Amino acid sequence: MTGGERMVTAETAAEPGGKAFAVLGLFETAEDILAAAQGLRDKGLGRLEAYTPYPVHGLDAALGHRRSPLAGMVLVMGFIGAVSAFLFQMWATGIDYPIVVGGKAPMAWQAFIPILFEVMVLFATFTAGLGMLLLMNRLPFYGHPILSSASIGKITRDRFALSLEAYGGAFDAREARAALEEAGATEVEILPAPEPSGPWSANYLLKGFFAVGAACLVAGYATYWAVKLFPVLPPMVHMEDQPKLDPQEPSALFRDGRGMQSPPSGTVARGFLPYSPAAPEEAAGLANPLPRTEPVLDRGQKAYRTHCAVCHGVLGDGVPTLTASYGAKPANLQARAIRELSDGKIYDAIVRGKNAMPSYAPHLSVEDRWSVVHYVRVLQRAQNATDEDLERGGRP
Amino acid sequence: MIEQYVDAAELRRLLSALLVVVGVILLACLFAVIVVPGLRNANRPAAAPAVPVVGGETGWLDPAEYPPARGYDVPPVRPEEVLSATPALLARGRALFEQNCRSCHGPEGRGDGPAAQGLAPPPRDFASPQGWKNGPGIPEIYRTLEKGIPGSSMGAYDYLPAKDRMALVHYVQSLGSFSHGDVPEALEAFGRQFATAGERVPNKIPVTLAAARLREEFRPPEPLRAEGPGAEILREEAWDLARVALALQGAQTWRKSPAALAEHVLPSVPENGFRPRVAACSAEEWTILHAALLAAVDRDEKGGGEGGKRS
Repeated sequence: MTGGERMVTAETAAEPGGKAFAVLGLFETAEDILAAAQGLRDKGLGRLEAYTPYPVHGLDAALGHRRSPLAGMVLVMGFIGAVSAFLFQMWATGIDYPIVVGGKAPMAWQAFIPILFEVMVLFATFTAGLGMLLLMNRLPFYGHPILSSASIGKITRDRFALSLEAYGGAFDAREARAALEEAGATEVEILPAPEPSGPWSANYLLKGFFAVGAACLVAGYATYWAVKLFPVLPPMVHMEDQPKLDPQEPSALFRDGRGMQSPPSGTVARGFLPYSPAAPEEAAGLANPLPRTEPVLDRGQKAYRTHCAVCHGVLGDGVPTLTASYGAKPANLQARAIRELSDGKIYDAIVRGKNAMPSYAPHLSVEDRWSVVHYVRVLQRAQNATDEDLERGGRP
Repeated sequence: MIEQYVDAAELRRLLSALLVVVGVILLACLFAVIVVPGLRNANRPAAAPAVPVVGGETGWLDPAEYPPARGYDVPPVRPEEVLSATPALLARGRALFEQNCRSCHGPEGRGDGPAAQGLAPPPRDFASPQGWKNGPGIPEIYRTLEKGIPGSSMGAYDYLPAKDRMALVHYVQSLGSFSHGDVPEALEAFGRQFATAGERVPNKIPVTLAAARLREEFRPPEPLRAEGPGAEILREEAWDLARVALALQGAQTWRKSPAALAEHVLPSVPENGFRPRVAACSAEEWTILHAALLAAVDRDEKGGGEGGKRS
């Protein structure tokens, strides 16, 4: 009620158009209200309600109470819950992001049943609980007018009350008072309508529920268009876009924009000596100090495929994926000139870089470098095998 | 029948409540179907251009595990087919140029490709008659392709078949509109090598098999058994005598002098078995070490090749 309206009192409520909640009539005995209830119900002046100090047999029938629609509500909402759960699973796992779970087809309905059941029960229980409280009992209802009536003391002691309550259409308090007095009520009282119970009433809660849904929708569309039209905050692009440091990739973390960083110039790692040959020729005599054993060759393969294969190709034939993208022309490690190079010169090319190839010393440890040299020999052997190798065939 | 449960006003209330619930569910559906997928794809970067598959055997998960293939002979090139520039040769040469040469020599062969920036000396400008190291004639360019140019970034393209190399030669010549000075007699002599030599495409085996073969062929050398004062220094300065033996037996340059030994050892410390503090050895200690190592390696080589026990 707005502040401009005057307070409703018993007097004003009795006037035509006044806001009355109910008209209360007190009776002396239980038999009286049973007899009166029947007659009052037939007149249809308002909703008939009884307040008694103890349960009165036959009163329910006399008041003509309807059976509760709660069971039907639960049935309807349970059905809606089951259908929405089923459709949601179908959409999520079959249409929006088809995914195979346990070898089943994307729309295997059998797999939806547990969740379907659970959501059905969820909707049904919420309907039973909330529907009873909010819709049937019209709670929350702070301060029922009967509690502040003058007759409440008698009702809780030895009097029986019938009330004709305003419900639905027009309610005429005077007519109701007259009917009650005619039915034999000893005292009749008009109860003014209570203050509206504000934002927590069932009505408001339902509207609020709807408003939250609508707000989600508006916010969703607003975000959608904001992101589309003003791309300052790009959304997460699945898992392809991970903020991490990748070799061979640019990085915004460092000033020079590279993901692969070299150590500060002039520094030497603990336990190592600076690489001393001044020219590739001086390194020609270096011998590979690693044995050609399985762990060494495996290590070489891993390092080669991580760092070298992007340019020199998985087979070392200089036909890599980068050629198509960048038009680069890395060396073909299968060329006779490179097959005839000494291990030391290949090692030197890794450490020092060659032509457009930068130094890989910061990215490959010394052991890795010598392992890669061994692995390059393996690749060269694979492409230039002896007849005996071929006869060994698949039997290494 | 429904009057038993609700009257008209109550029914309106219940139906409006139902409408609210169904409306919210429908709004959620709309949200899920339109907004969520739209957000997911908004500003998604355009897909990178597809990279055509090059190299490797198609149909194999690991491109290094192709089936073994026996090598075969390519019949010799007929000289009269390749000595003069035909449209077919020039077209082939152009394709090869795009693949192999363009990144350094540039799209027009002016030596201005994107990869040319870091190269010293810069790549040849095929349009200019000056400065050809090997000369601009057909035999000279052919030789450059076969051997490369030592001391420059020009590598050897000996893995291209002879006919492809000749296609490239003609295409390179076609990029410069000056006289390349080819004399018919010299060309005839040059052409004779095609008439005699065929080419052999080598055998191929999968990489795992090649690795297995190299492992089989590997014979670990005996750990060094140095004697005298050299042994003491070696014990101090080396952490793995097997690696020392490998690093020394694979090379000969260190034999010349103690200084050569230091030069050989220091660049690959510590993976060659020596400790970093070997760098602090005096010239005197290097001399003793050199003599001891020489003796030890020679004794092992004489002692026989069977791989014995290792320390």
